[in-house]
Amino acid sequence: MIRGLAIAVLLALAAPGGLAPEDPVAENRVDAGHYDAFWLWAGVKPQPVLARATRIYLLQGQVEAHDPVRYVAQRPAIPHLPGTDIWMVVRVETLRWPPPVYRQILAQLARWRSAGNRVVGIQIDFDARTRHLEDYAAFLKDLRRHLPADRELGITGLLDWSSNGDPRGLDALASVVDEVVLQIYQGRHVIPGYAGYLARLERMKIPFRIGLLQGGDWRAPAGLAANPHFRGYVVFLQNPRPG
Amino acid sequence: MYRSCALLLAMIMALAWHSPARASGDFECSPGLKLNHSALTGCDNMVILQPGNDTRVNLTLLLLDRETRTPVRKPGDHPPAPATAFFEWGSFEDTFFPKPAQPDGDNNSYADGEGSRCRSDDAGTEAFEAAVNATTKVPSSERADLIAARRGLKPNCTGASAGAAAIADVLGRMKSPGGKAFARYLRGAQAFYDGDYDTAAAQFSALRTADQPWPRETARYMLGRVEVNRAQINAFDDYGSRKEPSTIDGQIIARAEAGLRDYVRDYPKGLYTISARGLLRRVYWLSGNTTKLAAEYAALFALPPAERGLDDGALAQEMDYKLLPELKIADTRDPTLLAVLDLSRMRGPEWPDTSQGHDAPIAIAELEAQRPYFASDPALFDYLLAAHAYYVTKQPAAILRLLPDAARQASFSHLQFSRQMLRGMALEAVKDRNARGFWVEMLAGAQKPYQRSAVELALAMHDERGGALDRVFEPGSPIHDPQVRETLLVTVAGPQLLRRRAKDAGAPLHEREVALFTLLYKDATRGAYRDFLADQALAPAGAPKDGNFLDLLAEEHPSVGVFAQTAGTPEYDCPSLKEVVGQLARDARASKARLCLADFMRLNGFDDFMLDGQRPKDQLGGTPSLFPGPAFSRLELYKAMIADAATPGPDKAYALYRAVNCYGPSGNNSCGGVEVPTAQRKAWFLRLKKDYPASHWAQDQRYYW
Repeated sequence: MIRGLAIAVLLALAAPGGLAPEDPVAENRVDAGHYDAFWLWAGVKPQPVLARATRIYLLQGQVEAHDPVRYVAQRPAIPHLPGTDIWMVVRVETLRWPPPVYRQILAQLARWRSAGNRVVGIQIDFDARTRHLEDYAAFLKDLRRHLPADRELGITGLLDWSSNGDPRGLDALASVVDEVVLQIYQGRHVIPGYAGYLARLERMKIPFRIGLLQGGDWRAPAGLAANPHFRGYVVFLQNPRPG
Repeated sequence: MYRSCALLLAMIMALAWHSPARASGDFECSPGLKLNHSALTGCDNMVILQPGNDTRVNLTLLLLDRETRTPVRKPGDHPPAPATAFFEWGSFEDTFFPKPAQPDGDNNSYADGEGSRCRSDDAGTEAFEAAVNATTKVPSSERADLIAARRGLKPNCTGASAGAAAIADVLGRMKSPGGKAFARYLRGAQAFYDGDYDTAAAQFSALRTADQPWPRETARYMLGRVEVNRAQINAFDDYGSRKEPSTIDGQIIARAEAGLRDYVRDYPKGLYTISARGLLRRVYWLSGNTTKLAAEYAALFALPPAERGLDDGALAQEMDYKLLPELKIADTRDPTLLAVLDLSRMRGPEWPDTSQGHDAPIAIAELEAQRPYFASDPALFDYLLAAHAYYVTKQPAAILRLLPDAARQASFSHLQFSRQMLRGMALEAVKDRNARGFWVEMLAGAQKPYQRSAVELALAMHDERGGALDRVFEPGSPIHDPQVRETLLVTVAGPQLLRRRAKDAGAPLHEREVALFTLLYKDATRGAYRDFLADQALAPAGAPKDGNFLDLLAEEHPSVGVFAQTAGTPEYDCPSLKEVVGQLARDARASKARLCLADFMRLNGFDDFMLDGQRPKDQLGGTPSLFPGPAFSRLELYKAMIADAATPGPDKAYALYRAVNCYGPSGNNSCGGVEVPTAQRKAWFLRLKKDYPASHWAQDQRYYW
């Protein structure tokens, strides 16, 4: 897959000895202006950089682990972005979905599509632990059956899947989802030592993207661009800090 | 393990200081077992007002205190709060505000919080029918026509609704004044759902003087609702986010506000008063009027939940989405709102060793400037000053002056409880000799959910740190929380205490199993081989042996049977664990037996096991273990055997092989102990190849990591 020129430049800069000599520190900060795919979470104000996005992951709602489990919308209105690939993101606290949750999520998907959006599919954002990946894959397989056949299914992933994830679980996921976006941050913070995890991405057999944090640290590891499953980046936009 | 809430945990709203927590989901969220929490993790919520709590929790605790009665639990409602001091937002909300299951026939395809005017269609149809049927002045044929027309409306908010022609037809056929009023209302409703707000407003205005009370009142309410929807036309951007700053025409906002206010004034207990107040908040939110929004919420605080249509938890949740992200201290004088903001501004960094993403805490002068606004609630203000002294300036002595002793109570409000817990924490910080007595006094009044376990945790930490661990487990001990007791058993308990707990027929079964498992594991790995052989007799026949050993305390029945397995492990031709330990009991340096013990640990998944970990010093179980001997590490065992000249050749080859593989294939050490650099791994690998070229292990090993 051909990505933006800016990303290729960034990768070149990150190769050993390739840092721009005048400002090496700045090269490690994620400048959203160099990317073309973004997450827009609830509560994050849209930024001008979104205008040049080719794909946007928009948080739509959250499946909350209450008793009973419920689906809560997080985006105030239906988007109208006919020129951009859109992923409808569902944040998930529990995999025990009762029927109304499926119904409401699929109804949302239909409303987004009928508003003229190019909805690629649904991205599930769930903090599956590395040793539970097979259970997660079983859930996703079932969810896939509920989705319209022409929509894709994506997930966010945890960085340590690449090194600690159970290989059978990863294989099971690979057979179910179309892509996984691995996040190198936790909360508002880039995970210290993320490079160590990334060094072991060869275990990923799923098309994957790397999820970066706007303004966070990033230095592409050697060999990432050559990884046959690597599809590019998604930047998690943040509100500017006050003051 | 100790901070295992996973990625994006604090990210749900991507707001640094108020993000909602992950609720009790499928995977555990491990709290920091201590009383003081300054960073938001989502796992560390307690019923103590504190900076580390989710803002929804702090807000809800303060709102609950305004209610004179505690929540009444009906039989068949949710089970009472679990015996724990820590909770996530979801379980907290379910505990205090249990909700019935959704009815089976619920076909609503709209999510909670989804803003579509069409979502009220089902309820609107029902209410219309009930009102028409109750109006006997309207002839029954007209009533039937009206109901049929309403049912045929079926709006979907994406195009014109289906029933326009039928409604126009009904409008022409009504003869009775009441029928005409209902028909006019229907025409307005149709225009409303179709997004024709001018027509809708004209129809509803004309009903102001209608004789029929239902159309008259409903039209009044709808006039405001029409303007809210008109305001929404230009309220959102292409992303479905609210436009900021608002570009909505101020006249529309003014009309919406006036319409809704007038309705609430004229119908203070009307059919739609709760909804109208909700719409009023929506108007303020849409127009970005944080001051009015805050004032409206503050006015709701004073209303009983039934009158506002929201319980305290739902109110806190709504405010967390709609108000708190925008709210600044200058926007409000409400003490509850100020307290929530102030506490969130006492937060520390999420990771103690970094200040990444951390804002400067609130200064004492800024807090003091708020004093006048707390005139009605000085106890709350003093608490905030004390929290500041604890979390920001770290002056525990000042807390003791601010918060007098009131530990003996029949029950505590959440503020009272917070005040006394903080006082106790300050007593601990200044090493007051009456700290223990203080905690004991608090026990009686700790009646509300999660309070009791918080005091038990305080008491247990005190005894653990005071070298009085046995006291926690004495008969009649007030410490019942299984998490507290079992944590102490797996972390600090020595062999005698573990043995006593394992044998105590009066102890809870799970505690006995945890104690026995810990005892056998530590006997075998800390060199107490003779004890292991004797203690093994305590394991019941048929005890489970197939645990996943990720979290001993979470297992329903800790798998003590794993130590009684009779099979050996073929890879290095090892006999059963019992036999291996028997050999070690005779000669603790028997090299093959040592390697076999390590293989047992490896093959049963005990690498990185929690019983070889160390909890943080400031948490329960963070003091040094009373079980003699160091934590077990395969890497250290292999290192010792490699270094020992007396280790026979074949055993040394296997130790080298296993040591190299500690780092394979990921390059991460899975065997515990002190890390070694790559050069050392390479040296082991080369030594294996050079010194033992004929061994199976040298031939098998092709890489090092």
